[in-house]
Amino acid sequence: MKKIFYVFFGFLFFFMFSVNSKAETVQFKEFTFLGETFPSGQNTIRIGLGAMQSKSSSFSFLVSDLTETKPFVNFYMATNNAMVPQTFENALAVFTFKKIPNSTYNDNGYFLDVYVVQAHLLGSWNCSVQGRNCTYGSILTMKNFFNYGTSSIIFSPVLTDEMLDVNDVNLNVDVTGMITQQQQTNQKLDVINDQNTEAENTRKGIWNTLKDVLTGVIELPGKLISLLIDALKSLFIPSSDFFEDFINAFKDNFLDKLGFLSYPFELIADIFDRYMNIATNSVIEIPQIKEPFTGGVLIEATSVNLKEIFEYGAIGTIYGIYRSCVSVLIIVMFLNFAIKKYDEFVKNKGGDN
Amino acid sequence: MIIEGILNIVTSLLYFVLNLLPDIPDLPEALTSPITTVLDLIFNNVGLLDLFLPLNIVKLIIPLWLIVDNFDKIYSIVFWIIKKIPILGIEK
Repeated sequence: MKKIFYVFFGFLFFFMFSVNSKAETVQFKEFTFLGETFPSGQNTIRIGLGAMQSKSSSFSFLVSDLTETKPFVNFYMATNNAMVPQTFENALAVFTFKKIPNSTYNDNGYFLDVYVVQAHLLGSWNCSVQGRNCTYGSILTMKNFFNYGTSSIIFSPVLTDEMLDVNDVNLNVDVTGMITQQQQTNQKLDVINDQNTEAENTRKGIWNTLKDVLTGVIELPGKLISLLIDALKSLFIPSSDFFEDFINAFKDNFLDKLGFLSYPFELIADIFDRYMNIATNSVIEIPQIKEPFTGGVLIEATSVNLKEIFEYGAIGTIYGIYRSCVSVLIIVMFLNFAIKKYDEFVKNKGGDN
Repeated sequence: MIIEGILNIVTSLLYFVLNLLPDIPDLPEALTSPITTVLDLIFNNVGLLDLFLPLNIVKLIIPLWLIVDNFDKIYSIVFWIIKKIPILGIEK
């Protein structure tokens, strides 16, 4: 029982600690930095300073709802000064800078170092009503100790109740242009990979070309022979369409020109065509027969299928045997005729020789 | 290509000669129609023969019979052509 009690309260304290340890942030309704105000819907401003110049202006912000004390303002700053960012001086806030490792900001092609800046607010808030529309303001001075101009971009300011640990900084800040060095490295690697791929493709292209050339040389004799055969074929063997076109042209120009003289050829062709298309027919059509004087019908028009009659019952069996015998008889007669013609042919040829 | 060319030349010459001649009129229909009627009568009813003679066999046998019966003539024609090809060297 005791163990359950300890475990339960252990989980409870752990849960409470986890909730309390989570940083609470408040978005500004208005944020002004060195006189530059973040417009609504935009979270970056640019501060430019000439060599050895300084700029003093407002450092203020407005929060709609501030129920608890949140003494820190965190924001990011990207600058072209690789050593130390510009120095801020303010009597009501202490600024600390931490460079975010492996992180850069792409400012139109110029890669700037990214710092996380924390302003520890020392002054008091001025609220119109308790906790409502609270403002915090002071004068901020920014100095540039370098002998060249600096450009700084401030982005993503939040009011928070917790000190900022650079190691816990969420680098995936949704600001256009902020990229990590890993991303830069990946981009460079992509470029190198593309170049390698291109080089590999070029090598493959050269190798494939050489391979194709060698294959072409090896296959050349066979291709030459094939081409020669095809050339001979095309010389002596007419194309498949040639004879059809030739016969049609011959018919159109020759037979039509000859008129009735060509009729025997047409008749032979017609008979041959009819012969090739003979259809077996076993149906006899009997017309209607009428008595001529009175018009009375003597025999009704009808059709008789003789094959159905022949193939019916026992007659059908006999009919099948008859057809088989007739087929064999025709073939035997033809073979007998062929043998006789062969003997006759050989005898004549022998006589000729 | 060669055979096509030769045939084209021959037919062109033939058509040229034919074109010089006047068109010969067709046979009058009064003469062709009885022949057509007889042929229709025969070939429309010859199918009935299938009841007594298997026509599929007869249709095959008749051309073969014609070839065999005229084999000596076909042989003579083929050899007449072959003898014309000098490269084969066939004299008889």
